[in-house]
Amino acid sequence: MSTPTATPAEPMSTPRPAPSAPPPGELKTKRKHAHFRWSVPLGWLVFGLLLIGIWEICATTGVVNPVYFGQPSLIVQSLFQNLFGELLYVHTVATFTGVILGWLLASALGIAAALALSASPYLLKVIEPYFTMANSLPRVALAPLFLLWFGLGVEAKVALAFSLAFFVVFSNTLAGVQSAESERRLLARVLGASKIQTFRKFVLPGAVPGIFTGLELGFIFGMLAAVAGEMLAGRAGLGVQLQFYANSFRMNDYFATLIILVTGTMLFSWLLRTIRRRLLRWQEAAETE
Amino acid sequence: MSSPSMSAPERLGPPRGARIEVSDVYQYFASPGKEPVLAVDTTSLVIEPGEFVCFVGPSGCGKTTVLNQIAGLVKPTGGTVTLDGKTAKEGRPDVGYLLARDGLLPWRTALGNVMLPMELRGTPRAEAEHRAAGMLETVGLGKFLHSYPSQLSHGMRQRTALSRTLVVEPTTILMDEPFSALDAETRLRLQGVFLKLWEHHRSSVCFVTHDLSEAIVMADRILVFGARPGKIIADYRINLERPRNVLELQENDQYHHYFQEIWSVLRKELAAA
Repeated sequence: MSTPTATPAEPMSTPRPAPSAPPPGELKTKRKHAHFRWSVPLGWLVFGLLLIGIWEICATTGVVNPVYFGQPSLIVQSLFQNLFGELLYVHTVATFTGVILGWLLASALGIAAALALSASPYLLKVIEPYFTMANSLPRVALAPLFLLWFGLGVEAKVALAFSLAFFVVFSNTLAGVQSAESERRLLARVLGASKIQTFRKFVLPGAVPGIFTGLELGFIFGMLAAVAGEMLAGRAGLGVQLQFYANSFRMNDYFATLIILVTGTMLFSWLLRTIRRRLLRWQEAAETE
Repeated sequence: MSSPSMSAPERLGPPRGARIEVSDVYQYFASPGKEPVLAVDTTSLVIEPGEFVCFVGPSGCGKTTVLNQIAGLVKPTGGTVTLDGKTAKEGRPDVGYLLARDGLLPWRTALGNVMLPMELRGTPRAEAEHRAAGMLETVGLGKFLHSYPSQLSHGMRQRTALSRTLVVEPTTILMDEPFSALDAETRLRLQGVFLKLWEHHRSSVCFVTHDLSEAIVMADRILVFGARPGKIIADYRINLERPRNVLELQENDQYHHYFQEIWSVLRKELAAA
Protein backbone atom coordinates (compact mmCIF):
# COMPACT_ATOMS: atom_id res chain seq x y z
CA MET A 1 0.00 0.00 0.00
CA SER A 2 1.53 3.27 -0.99
CA THR A 3 -0.02 6.67 -1.04
CA PRO A 4 2.41 9.24 -2.34
CA THR A 5 2.78 12.16 0.03
CA ALA A 6 2.40 15.05 -2.30
CA THR A 7 4.99 17.60 -1.25
CA PRO A 8 5.34 20.28 -3.88
CA ALA A 9 8.56 19.47 -5.69
CA GLU A 10 11.22 22.15 -5.55
CA PRO A 11 12.83 22.82 -8.89
CA MET A 12 16.40 21.49 -8.86
CA SER A 13 17.78 24.50 -10.68
CA THR A 14 16.28 27.62 -12.09
CA PRO A 15 15.23 26.72 -15.60
CA ARG A 16 16.41 28.87 -18.45
CA PRO A 17 13.66 31.05 -19.85
CA ALA A 18 12.04 29.05 -22.60
CA PRO A 19 12.11 30.60 -26.06
CA SER A 20 8.73 32.12 -26.75
CA ALA A 21 6.57 30.56 -29.42
CA PRO A 22 6.65 32.14 -32.86
CA PRO A 23 3.66 34.29 -33.82
CA PRO A 24 0.78 32.24 -35.23
CA GLY A 25 1.20 33.68 -38.69
CA GLU A 26 2.35 30.37 -40.09
CA LEU A 27 -0.63 28.32 -38.92
CA LYS A 28 -1.77 26.10 -41.74
CA THR A 29 -4.82 24.33 -40.31
CA LYS A 30 -7.41 27.02 -41.07
CA ARG A 31 -6.02 27.70 -44.50
CA LYS A 32 -6.25 24.08 -45.53
CA HIS A 33 -10.03 24.19 -45.15
CA ALA A 34 -10.35 27.51 -46.93
CA HIS A 35 -8.35 25.98 -49.74
CA PHE A 36 -10.76 23.02 -49.92
CA ARG A 37 -13.72 25.33 -50.23
CA TRP A 38 -12.62 26.38 -53.67
CA SER A 39 -10.77 23.35 -54.95
CA VAL A 40 -13.57 20.85 -54.40
CA PRO A 41 -16.28 22.61 -56.46
CA LEU A 42 -13.65 23.34 -59.06
CA GLY A 43 -12.86 19.62 -59.17
CA TRP A 44 -16.53 18.83 -59.60
CA LEU A 45 -16.77 21.21 -62.54
CA VAL A 46 -13.64 19.87 -64.24
CA PHE A 47 -14.69 16.25 -63.74
CA GLY A 48 -18.20 16.90 -65.06
CA LEU A 49 -17.02 18.83 -68.08
CA LEU A 50 -14.50 16.09 -68.84
CA LEU A 51 -17.18 13.38 -68.82
CA ILE A 52 -19.55 15.44 -70.93
CA GLY A 53 -16.75 16.35 -73.30
CA ILE A 54 -15.79 12.71 -73.86
CA TRP A 55 -19.45 11.84 -74.43
CA GLU A 56 -19.85 14.67 -76.92
CA ILE A 57 -16.73 13.67 -78.86
CA CYS A 58 -17.73 10.01 -78.90
CA ALA A 59 -21.18 10.94 -80.22
CA THR A 60 -19.95 13.31 -82.94
CA THR A 61 -17.20 10.97 -84.12
CA GLY A 62 -19.56 8.01 -84.14
CA VAL A 63 -17.74 5.97 -81.50
CA VAL A 64 -21.16 5.61 -79.85
CA ASN A 65 -24.40 5.83 -81.76
CA PRO A 66 -26.24 9.02 -80.76
CA VAL A 67 -29.55 7.37 -81.68
CA TYR A 68 -29.09 5.19 -78.62
CA PHE A 69 -26.89 7.34 -76.41
CA GLY A 70 -27.87 10.91 -77.21
CA GLN A 71 -25.48 13.81 -77.49
CA PRO A 72 -24.83 16.34 -74.70
CA SER A 73 -25.15 19.47 -76.83
CA LEU A 74 -28.47 18.29 -78.22
CA ILE A 75 -29.64 17.25 -74.74
CA VAL A 76 -29.03 20.78 -73.50
CA GLN A 77 -30.89 22.09 -76.51
CA SER A 78 -33.80 19.76 -75.83
CA LEU A 79 -33.80 20.77 -72.18
CA PHE A 80 -34.18 24.45 -73.06
CA GLN A 81 -36.82 23.73 -75.68
CA ASN A 82 -38.88 21.64 -73.29
CA LEU A 83 -38.14 23.36 -70.05
CA PHE A 84 -40.95 25.85 -70.23
CA GLY A 85 -43.36 23.61 -72.06
CA GLU A 86 -45.45 20.59 -71.29
CA LEU A 87 -42.58 18.61 -69.81
CA LEU A 88 -42.28 21.02 -66.90
CA TYR A 89 -45.82 22.30 -66.46
CA VAL A 90 -47.65 19.06 -67.01
CA HIS A 91 -45.41 16.07 -66.48
CA THR A 92 -43.02 17.34 -63.82
CA VAL A 93 -45.92 18.82 -61.89
CA ALA A 94 -47.84 15.55 -62.17
CA THR A 95 -44.97 13.39 -60.91
CA PHE A 96 -43.91 15.67 -58.08
CA THR A 97 -47.48 16.29 -56.94
CA GLY A 98 -48.05 12.56 -56.69
CA VAL A 99 -44.76 11.84 -54.94
CA ILE A 100 -44.99 14.73 -52.49
CA LEU A 101 -48.58 13.89 -51.56
CA GLY A 102 -47.74 10.22 -51.09
CA TRP A 103 -44.62 11.11 -49.14
CA LEU A 104 -46.46 13.56 -46.87
CA LEU A 105 -49.10 10.95 -46.13
CA ALA A 106 -46.44 8.28 -45.57
CA SER A 107 -44.45 10.57 -43.28
CA ALA A 108 -47.41 11.57 -41.14
CA LEU A 109 -48.72 8.01 -40.80
CA GLY A 110 -45.26 6.41 -40.59
CA ILE A 111 -44.13 8.66 -37.74
CA ALA A 112 -47.47 8.35 -35.95
CA ALA A 113 -47.52 4.56 -36.27
CA ALA A 114 -43.93 4.19 -35.07
CA LEU A 115 -44.48 6.45 -32.07
CA ALA A 116 -47.72 4.72 -31.15
CA LEU A 117 -46.32 1.22 -31.51
CA SER A 118 -43.14 2.05 -29.59
CA ALA A 119 -45.38 2.65 -26.58
CA SER A 120 -46.73 -0.90 -26.76
CA PRO A 121 -44.11 -3.64 -27.09
CA TYR A 122 -46.91 -6.22 -27.31
CA LEU A 123 -48.67 -4.67 -30.31
CA LEU A 124 -45.31 -4.10 -31.95
CA LYS A 125 -44.48 -7.79 -31.65
CA VAL A 126 -47.87 -8.74 -33.10
CA ILE A 127 -47.61 -6.43 -36.07
CA GLU A 128 -43.90 -6.88 -36.77
CA PRO A 129 -44.09 -10.02 -39.00
CA TYR A 130 -46.78 -8.41 -41.15
CA PHE A 131 -44.69 -5.31 -41.55
CA THR A 132 -41.65 -7.36 -42.47
CA MET A 133 -43.70 -9.24 -45.03
CA ALA A 134 -45.17 -6.10 -46.56
CA ASN A 135 -41.75 -4.49 -46.60
CA SER A 136 -40.04 -7.39 -48.36
CA LEU A 137 -42.55 -7.23 -51.17
CA PRO A 138 -41.05 -5.44 -54.21
CA ARG A 139 -43.49 -2.55 -54.20
CA VAL A 140 -43.25 -2.02 -57.94
CA ALA A 141 -45.05 -5.35 -58.23
CA LEU A 142 -48.08 -3.58 -56.82
CA ALA A 143 -48.08 -1.01 -59.62
CA PRO A 144 -50.50 -2.88 -61.91
CA LEU A 145 -52.86 -3.40 -58.98
CA PHE A 146 -52.76 0.24 -57.91
CA LEU A 147 -53.30 1.36 -61.50
CA LEU A 148 -56.34 -0.87 -61.65
CA TRP A 149 -57.69 0.44 -58.36
CA PHE A 150 -56.83 4.11 -58.66
CA GLY A 151 -56.75 4.71 -62.40
CA LEU A 152 -54.23 6.58 -64.51
CA GLY A 153 -54.34 9.86 -62.56
CA VAL A 154 -52.44 11.17 -59.58
CA GLU A 155 -54.00 8.71 -57.11
CA ALA A 156 -51.95 5.73 -58.30
CA LYS A 157 -48.73 7.76 -57.96
CA VAL A 158 -49.69 8.76 -54.43
CA ALA A 159 -50.43 5.14 -53.53
CA LEU A 160 -47.16 3.85 -54.95
CA ALA A 161 -45.02 6.55 -53.36
CA PHE A 162 -46.83 5.96 -50.09
CA SER A 163 -46.38 2.19 -50.18
CA LEU A 164 -42.62 2.50 -50.23
CA ALA A 165 -42.05 5.70 -48.24
CA PHE A 166 -44.27 4.61 -45.36
CA PHE A 167 -42.07 1.70 -44.32
CA VAL A 168 -38.87 3.67 -44.68
CA VAL A 169 -40.19 6.45 -42.44
CA PHE A 170 -41.73 3.96 -40.03
CA SER A 171 -38.65 1.83 -39.49
CA ASN A 172 -36.27 4.78 -39.17
CA THR A 173 -38.55 6.51 -36.66
CA LEU A 174 -38.90 3.32 -34.66
CA ALA A 175 -35.14 2.81 -34.61
CA GLY A 176 -34.73 6.41 -33.45
CA VAL A 177 -37.21 6.02 -30.60
CA GLN A 178 -35.69 2.73 -29.50
CA SER A 179 -32.19 4.18 -29.59
CA ALA A 180 -32.92 6.08 -26.35
CA GLU A 181 -30.35 4.57 -24.04
CA SER A 182 -31.58 2.85 -20.92
CA GLU A 183 -29.45 5.34 -19.00
CA ARG A 184 -31.60 8.15 -20.37
CA ARG A 185 -34.76 6.42 -19.22
CA LEU A 186 -33.18 5.85 -15.81
CA LEU A 187 -32.46 9.57 -15.57
CA ALA A 188 -36.10 10.30 -16.39
CA ARG A 189 -37.19 7.97 -13.58
CA VAL A 190 -34.76 9.44 -11.09
CA LEU A 191 -35.85 12.98 -11.93
CA GLY A 192 -39.47 11.93 -11.45
CA ALA A 193 -40.55 12.67 -15.03
CA SER A 194 -44.11 11.68 -15.93
CA LYS A 195 -44.75 9.32 -18.84
CA ILE A 196 -45.54 12.19 -21.16
CA GLN A 197 -42.51 14.16 -20.00
CA THR A 198 -40.28 11.12 -20.47
CA PHE A 199 -41.50 10.80 -24.03
CA ARG A 200 -41.39 14.49 -24.91
CA LYS A 201 -38.13 15.46 -23.25
CA PHE A 202 -36.03 12.29 -23.14
CA VAL A 203 -37.13 10.02 -26.00
CA LEU A 204 -38.58 12.10 -28.85
CA PRO A 205 -35.71 14.59 -29.32
CA GLY A 206 -33.33 11.65 -29.61
CA ALA A 207 -35.49 10.16 -32.35
CA VAL A 208 -35.44 13.28 -34.53
CA PRO A 209 -32.23 12.36 -36.42
CA GLY A 210 -33.73 8.94 -37.25
CA ILE A 211 -36.98 10.55 -38.33
CA PHE A 212 -35.13 12.87 -40.70
CA THR A 213 -33.16 10.03 -42.20
CA GLY A 214 -36.50 8.31 -42.79
CA LEU A 215 -37.99 11.40 -44.40
CA GLU A 216 -35.05 11.89 -46.76
CA LEU A 217 -34.84 8.24 -47.79
CA GLY A 218 -38.63 8.01 -47.96
CA PHE A 219 -38.77 10.75 -50.54
CA ILE A 220 -36.20 9.10 -52.76
CA PHE A 221 -37.91 5.72 -52.51
CA GLY A 222 -41.31 7.32 -53.09
CA MET A 223 -39.98 8.89 -56.25
CA LEU A 224 -38.64 5.54 -57.40
CA ALA A 225 -41.99 3.81 -56.93
CA ALA A 226 -44.02 6.57 -58.56
CA VAL A 227 -41.81 6.84 -61.64
CA ALA A 228 -41.77 3.07 -62.07
CA GLY A 229 -45.59 3.09 -61.94
CA GLU A 230 -45.75 5.87 -64.50
CA MET A 231 -43.56 3.94 -66.86
CA LEU A 232 -46.12 1.17 -66.77
CA ALA A 233 -49.09 3.40 -67.46
CA GLY A 234 -50.34 6.88 -66.69
CA ARG A 235 -51.96 9.93 -68.21
CA ALA A 236 -49.08 12.26 -67.35
CA GLY A 237 -45.76 12.17 -65.55
CA LEU A 238 -42.04 12.08 -66.15
CA GLY A 239 -42.07 8.28 -66.15
CA VAL A 240 -44.71 8.31 -68.87
CA GLN A 241 -42.51 10.64 -70.93
CA LEU A 242 -39.40 8.51 -70.36
CA GLN A 243 -41.19 5.46 -71.70
CA PHE A 244 -42.51 7.41 -74.66
CA TYR A 245 -39.11 8.93 -75.56
CA ALA A 246 -37.29 5.62 -75.27
CA ASN A 247 -39.83 3.90 -77.51
CA SER A 248 -39.49 6.59 -80.16
CA PHE A 249 -35.66 6.79 -79.95
CA ARG A 250 -35.72 10.39 -78.75
CA MET A 251 -32.64 9.96 -76.55
CA ASN A 252 -31.89 13.66 -76.18
CA ASP A 253 -35.41 14.27 -74.86
CA TYR A 254 -35.03 11.21 -72.69
CA PHE A 255 -31.89 12.54 -71.03
CA ALA A 256 -33.39 16.02 -70.70
CA THR A 257 -36.27 14.41 -68.78
CA LEU A 258 -33.82 12.56 -66.56
CA ILE A 259 -32.04 15.83 -65.79
CA ILE A 260 -35.31 17.42 -64.71
CA LEU A 261 -36.09 14.38 -62.55
CA VAL A 262 -32.70 14.40 -60.84
CA THR A 263 -32.66 18.17 -60.34
CA GLY A 264 -36.12 18.18 -58.79
CA THR A 265 -35.32 15.31 -56.43
CA MET A 266 -32.01 16.86 -55.41
CA LEU A 267 -33.65 20.21 -54.73
CA PHE A 268 -36.19 18.56 -52.47
CA SER A 269 -33.53 16.57 -50.62
CA TRP A 270 -31.49 19.72 -50.19
CA LEU A 271 -34.53 21.45 -48.69
CA LEU A 272 -34.96 18.61 -46.19
CA ARG A 273 -31.29 18.63 -45.27
CA THR A 274 -31.42 22.37 -44.67
CA ILE A 275 -34.36 21.96 -42.31
CA ARG A 276 -32.51 19.12 -40.59
CA ARG A 277 -29.43 21.24 -40.05
CA ARG A 278 -31.55 23.98 -38.53
CA LEU A 279 -33.29 21.57 -36.18
CA LEU A 280 -30.30 19.48 -35.21
CA ARG A 281 -27.66 22.04 -34.37
CA TRP A 282 -26.51 19.86 -31.48
CA GLN A 283 -25.53 17.10 -33.89
CA GLU A 284 -23.63 19.51 -36.06
CA ALA A 285 -21.70 20.56 -32.96
CA ALA A 286 -20.64 16.95 -32.46
CA GLU A 287 -19.53 16.53 -36.05
CA THR A 288 -17.27 19.56 -36.15
CA GLU A 289 -15.36 18.37 -33.07
CA MET B 1 -11.36 4.47 16.24
CA SER B 2 -8.55 5.98 18.21
CA SER B 3 -8.29 9.42 16.61
CA PRO B 4 -9.28 12.40 18.70
CA SER B 5 -12.45 14.08 17.61
CA MET B 6 -11.94 17.56 16.23
CA SER B 7 -14.49 20.28 16.69
CA ALA B 8 -16.38 21.23 13.57
CA PRO B 9 -15.21 24.53 12.13
CA GLU B 10 -17.52 27.52 12.05
CA ARG B 11 -17.79 27.61 8.28
CA LEU B 12 -19.87 24.48 8.04
CA GLY B 13 -23.52 25.10 7.29
CA PRO B 14 -26.21 23.56 9.51
CA PRO B 15 -27.15 20.02 8.52
CA ARG B 16 -30.40 19.92 6.55
CA GLY B 17 -30.42 16.45 5.11
CA ALA B 18 -32.94 13.68 5.49
CA ARG B 19 -32.54 10.86 8.00
CA ILE B 20 -32.10 7.70 5.99
CA GLU B 21 -32.99 4.47 7.67
CA VAL B 22 -32.36 1.07 6.10
CA SER B 23 -33.76 -1.72 8.27
CA ASP B 24 -33.14 -5.40 7.76
CA VAL B 25 -33.18 -5.26 3.98
CA TYR B 26 -32.17 -8.16 1.84
CA GLN B 27 -32.30 -8.45 -1.89
CA TYR B 28 -32.67 -11.41 -4.19
CA PHE B 29 -32.22 -10.96 -7.91
CA ALA B 30 -34.05 -13.51 -10.03
CA SER B 31 -32.75 -14.41 -13.45
CA PRO B 32 -34.74 -16.71 -15.73
CA GLY B 33 -33.70 -20.36 -15.54
CA LYS B 34 -31.36 -19.80 -12.60
CA GLU B 35 -31.48 -19.85 -8.85
CA PRO B 36 -32.24 -16.41 -7.40
CA VAL B 37 -29.02 -14.71 -6.28
CA LEU B 38 -28.77 -13.14 -2.85
CA ALA B 39 -27.21 -9.77 -3.67
CA VAL B 40 -27.60 -8.18 -0.26
CA ASP B 41 -27.87 -10.11 2.98
CA THR B 42 -29.85 -8.68 5.89
CA THR B 43 -28.42 -5.19 6.28
CA SER B 44 -29.33 -2.23 8.44
CA LEU B 45 -27.87 1.25 8.53
CA VAL B 46 -28.80 4.75 9.52
CA ILE B 47 -27.53 7.91 7.87
CA GLU B 48 -28.10 10.89 10.14
CA PRO B 49 -29.24 14.23 8.68
CA GLY B 50 -26.33 15.96 7.03
CA GLU B 51 -24.02 12.97 7.29
CA PHE B 52 -21.67 12.10 4.44
CA VAL B 53 -21.41 8.33 4.18
CA CYS B 54 -19.28 6.39 1.72
CA PHE B 55 -19.85 2.77 0.74
CA VAL B 56 -16.67 0.95 -0.22
CA GLY B 57 -16.11 -2.66 -1.13
CA PRO B 58 -15.29 -5.02 -3.97
CA SER B 59 -17.46 -5.14 -7.10
CA GLY B 60 -20.59 -7.19 -6.65
CA CYS B 61 -20.79 -6.53 -2.91
CA GLY B 62 -24.25 -4.98 -3.15
CA LYS B 63 -23.23 -1.40 -2.38
CA THR B 64 -24.90 -0.10 -5.52
CA THR B 65 -27.97 -2.22 -4.77
CA VAL B 66 -28.37 -0.60 -1.35
CA LEU B 67 -27.93 2.81 -2.97
CA ASN B 68 -30.62 2.00 -5.50
CA GLN B 69 -32.92 0.81 -2.74
CA ILE B 70 -32.53 4.18 -1.06
CA ALA B 71 -33.19 5.84 -4.43
CA GLY B 72 -36.34 3.75 -4.72
CA LEU B 73 -35.16 2.30 -8.03
CA VAL B 74 -34.93 -1.19 -6.58
CA LYS B 75 -37.61 -2.51 -4.25
CA PRO B 76 -35.99 -4.62 -1.52
CA THR B 77 -37.14 -8.23 -1.37
CA GLY B 78 -37.46 -7.79 2.37
CA GLY B 79 -37.02 -5.01 4.91
CA THR B 80 -37.77 -1.30 4.72
CA VAL B 81 -36.01 1.83 3.54
CA THR B 82 -37.26 5.20 4.74
CA LEU B 83 -36.19 8.80 4.22
CA ASP B 84 -37.39 10.99 7.07
CA GLY B 85 -39.86 8.25 7.91
CA LYS B 86 -41.32 7.98 4.40
CA THR B 87 -40.81 4.85 2.32
CA ALA B 88 -38.21 5.35 -0.41
CA LYS B 89 -39.61 5.83 -3.89
CA GLU B 90 -38.09 6.86 -7.20
CA GLY B 91 -38.37 10.37 -8.54
CA ARG B 92 -38.62 12.16 -5.19
CA PRO B 93 -37.91 15.85 -5.71
CA ASP B 94 -35.74 16.05 -2.59
CA VAL B 95 -33.41 13.24 -3.70
CA GLY B 96 -30.54 13.86 -6.10
CA TYR B 97 -28.87 11.00 -7.95
CA LEU B 98 -25.63 10.98 -9.90
CA LEU B 99 -23.88 8.20 -11.81
CA ALA B 100 -20.42 7.74 -13.27
CA ARG B 101 -21.83 8.43 -16.72
CA ASP B 102 -23.16 11.93 -17.01
CA GLY B 103 -26.42 11.05 -18.80
CA LEU B 104 -26.59 14.52 -20.33
CA LEU B 105 -29.12 14.99 -23.10
CA PRO B 106 -26.99 15.73 -26.19
CA TRP B 107 -29.61 18.02 -27.76
CA ARG B 108 -29.58 20.36 -24.78
CA THR B 109 -26.89 22.88 -23.94
CA ALA B 110 -25.19 22.72 -20.54
CA LEU B 111 -27.70 25.30 -19.35
CA GLY B 112 -30.63 23.34 -20.78
CA ASN B 113 -29.45 20.16 -19.10
CA VAL B 114 -29.19 21.83 -15.71
CA MET B 115 -32.62 23.41 -16.19
CA LEU B 116 -34.16 20.01 -16.90
CA PRO B 117 -35.09 18.92 -13.35
CA MET B 118 -36.67 22.30 -12.67
CA GLU B 119 -38.51 22.19 -15.99
CA LEU B 120 -40.01 18.83 -15.04
CA ARG B 121 -41.28 20.36 -11.82
CA GLY B 122 -42.83 23.37 -13.48
CA THR B 123 -40.41 25.99 -12.14
CA PRO B 124 -40.95 29.24 -14.10
CA ARG B 125 -38.50 29.39 -16.98
CA ALA B 126 -36.79 32.61 -16.00
CA GLU B 127 -36.15 31.37 -12.48
CA ALA B 128 -34.92 27.98 -13.71
CA GLU B 129 -32.54 29.66 -16.11
CA HIS B 130 -31.25 31.98 -13.43
CA ARG B 131 -30.62 29.18 -10.96
CA ALA B 132 -29.07 26.88 -13.56
CA ALA B 133 -26.71 29.60 -14.75
CA GLY B 134 -25.74 30.37 -11.15
CA MET B 135 -25.07 26.71 -10.44
CA LEU B 136 -22.90 26.29 -13.54
CA GLU B 137 -21.04 29.44 -12.57
CA THR B 138 -20.33 27.89 -9.16
CA VAL B 139 -18.77 24.78 -10.67
CA GLY B 140 -16.66 26.91 -13.01
CA LEU B 141 -18.62 26.51 -16.23
CA GLY B 142 -19.88 30.07 -16.48
CA LYS B 143 -18.35 30.41 -19.93
CA PHE B 144 -19.91 27.23 -21.28
CA LEU B 145 -23.61 27.76 -20.61
CA HIS B 146 -24.51 27.46 -24.27
CA SER B 147 -22.16 24.63 -25.22
CA TYR B 148 -23.56 21.26 -26.19
CA PRO B 149 -22.29 18.20 -24.29
CA SER B 150 -20.37 17.07 -27.37
CA GLN B 151 -18.34 20.27 -27.16
CA LEU B 152 -17.39 19.76 -23.52
CA SER B 153 -14.58 17.70 -22.02
CA HIS B 154 -15.26 14.70 -19.81
CA GLY B 155 -14.72 16.63 -16.62
CA MET B 156 -16.89 19.53 -17.79
CA ARG B 157 -19.69 17.14 -18.66
CA GLN B 158 -19.57 15.58 -15.21
CA ARG B 159 -19.58 19.05 -13.67
CA THR B 160 -22.72 19.78 -15.66
CA ALA B 161 -24.28 16.54 -14.41
CA LEU B 162 -23.27 17.49 -10.86
CA SER B 163 -24.93 20.86 -11.35
CA ARG B 164 -28.08 19.16 -12.62
CA THR B 165 -28.15 17.05 -9.46
CA LEU B 166 -27.47 19.89 -7.03
CA VAL B 167 -29.43 22.73 -8.60
CA VAL B 168 -32.70 21.66 -6.97
CA GLU B 169 -30.93 21.54 -3.56
CA PRO B 170 -31.81 17.95 -2.70
CA THR B 171 -31.74 17.03 0.99
CA THR B 172 -30.47 13.58 0.07
CA ILE B 173 -27.75 13.02 -2.51
CA LEU B 174 -27.07 9.53 -3.82
CA MET B 175 -23.95 9.06 -5.90
CA ASP B 176 -22.71 5.94 -7.60
CA GLU B 177 -19.00 6.29 -8.40
CA PRO B 178 -19.64 9.78 -9.75
CA PHE B 179 -15.99 10.59 -10.41
CA SER B 180 -14.64 7.17 -11.34
CA ALA B 181 -14.63 7.79 -15.09
CA LEU B 182 -12.43 10.88 -14.78
CA ASP B 183 -8.67 11.20 -14.93
CA ALA B 184 -6.87 11.62 -11.60
CA GLU B 185 -6.41 15.37 -11.79
CA THR B 186 -9.97 16.11 -12.85
CA ARG B 187 -11.23 13.75 -10.16
CA LEU B 188 -9.37 15.63 -7.41
CA ARG B 189 -10.69 18.90 -8.72
CA LEU B 190 -14.29 17.69 -8.79
CA GLN B 191 -14.02 16.12 -5.35
CA GLY B 192 -12.97 19.55 -4.13
CA VAL B 193 -15.82 21.29 -5.95
CA PHE B 194 -18.37 18.88 -4.56
CA LEU B 195 -16.99 18.94 -1.00
CA LYS B 196 -17.16 22.71 -0.93
CA LEU B 197 -20.75 22.75 -2.11
CA TRP B 198 -21.69 20.01 0.33
CA GLU B 199 -20.03 21.71 3.28
CA HIS B 200 -22.28 24.65 2.56
CA HIS B 201 -25.52 22.70 2.02
CA ARG B 202 -24.93 19.78 4.39
CA SER B 203 -27.40 17.36 2.81
CA SER B 204 -27.26 13.68 3.66
CA VAL B 205 -24.95 11.96 1.20
CA CYS B 206 -24.62 8.34 0.28
CA PHE B 207 -21.59 7.92 -1.95
CA VAL B 208 -20.54 4.63 -3.53
CA THR B 209 -16.89 4.34 -4.54
CA HIS B 210 -14.15 1.87 -5.33
CA ASP B 211 -11.55 4.32 -4.27
CA LEU B 212 -10.68 4.25 -0.57
CA SER B 213 -8.66 7.48 -0.67
CA GLU B 214 -11.64 9.24 -2.20
CA ALA B 215 -13.88 7.85 0.55
CA ILE B 216 -11.56 9.06 3.34
CA VAL B 217 -11.21 12.51 1.85
CA MET B 218 -14.94 13.00 1.47
CA ALA B 219 -16.77 11.05 4.15
CA ASP B 220 -17.83 11.40 7.76
CA ARG B 221 -18.33 7.67 7.85
CA ILE B 222 -17.16 4.77 5.74
CA LEU B 223 -19.11 1.54 5.51
CA VAL B 224 -17.07 -1.38 4.20
CA PHE B 225 -19.08 -3.98 2.32
CA GLY B 226 -18.07 -7.61 2.05
CA ALA B 227 -18.95 -9.67 -0.98
CA ARG B 228 -21.21 -12.66 -1.71
CA PRO B 229 -23.65 -12.11 -0.26
CA GLY B 230 -23.22 -8.37 0.21
CA LYS B 231 -23.12 -7.23 3.81
CA ILE B 232 -21.67 -4.37 5.84
CA ILE B 233 -18.62 -5.70 7.67
CA ALA B 234 -17.10 -2.55 9.14
CA ASP B 235 -18.16 0.99 10.03
CA TYR B 236 -15.51 3.71 10.42
CA ARG B 237 -15.93 7.29 11.51
CA ILE B 238 -13.56 9.72 9.80
CA ASN B 239 -12.82 12.57 12.13
CA LEU B 240 -10.79 14.72 9.79
CA GLU B 241 -11.30 18.41 10.25
CA ARG B 242 -13.79 20.21 8.03
CA PRO B 243 -13.83 22.11 5.81
CA ARG B 244 -11.37 19.80 4.14
CA ASN B 245 -8.88 20.50 1.43
CA VAL B 246 -8.62 17.57 -0.92
CA LEU B 247 -5.05 18.36 -1.95
CA GLU B 248 -3.67 19.06 1.51
CA LEU B 249 -5.18 15.91 2.97
CA GLN B 250 -2.83 13.84 0.83
CA GLU B 251 -0.02 14.79 3.21
CA ASN B 252 -2.04 14.48 6.41
CA ASP B 253 -0.77 11.77 8.80
CA GLN B 254 -4.21 11.00 10.11
CA TYR B 255 -5.42 10.44 6.58
CA HIS B 256 -2.72 7.81 6.08
CA HIS B 257 -3.55 6.27 9.40
CA TYR B 258 -7.19 5.84 8.33
CA PHE B 259 -6.13 4.54 5.00
CA GLN B 260 -3.96 1.78 6.48
CA GLU B 261 -6.53 0.77 9.01
CA ILE B 262 -9.44 0.50 6.58
CA TRP B 263 -7.30 -0.91 3.80
CA SER B 264 -6.28 -3.84 5.97
CA VAL B 265 -9.97 -4.84 6.17
CA LEU B 266 -10.80 -4.00 2.59
CA ARG B 267 -7.82 -5.86 1.20
CA LYS B 268 -9.07 -9.16 2.58
CA GLU B 269 -12.44 -8.61 0.92
CA LEU B 270 -10.85 -7.71 -2.39
CA ALA B 271 -8.74 -10.84 -2.21
CA ALA B 272 -11.79 -12.95 -1.41
CA ALA B 273 -14.00 -11.50 -4.14
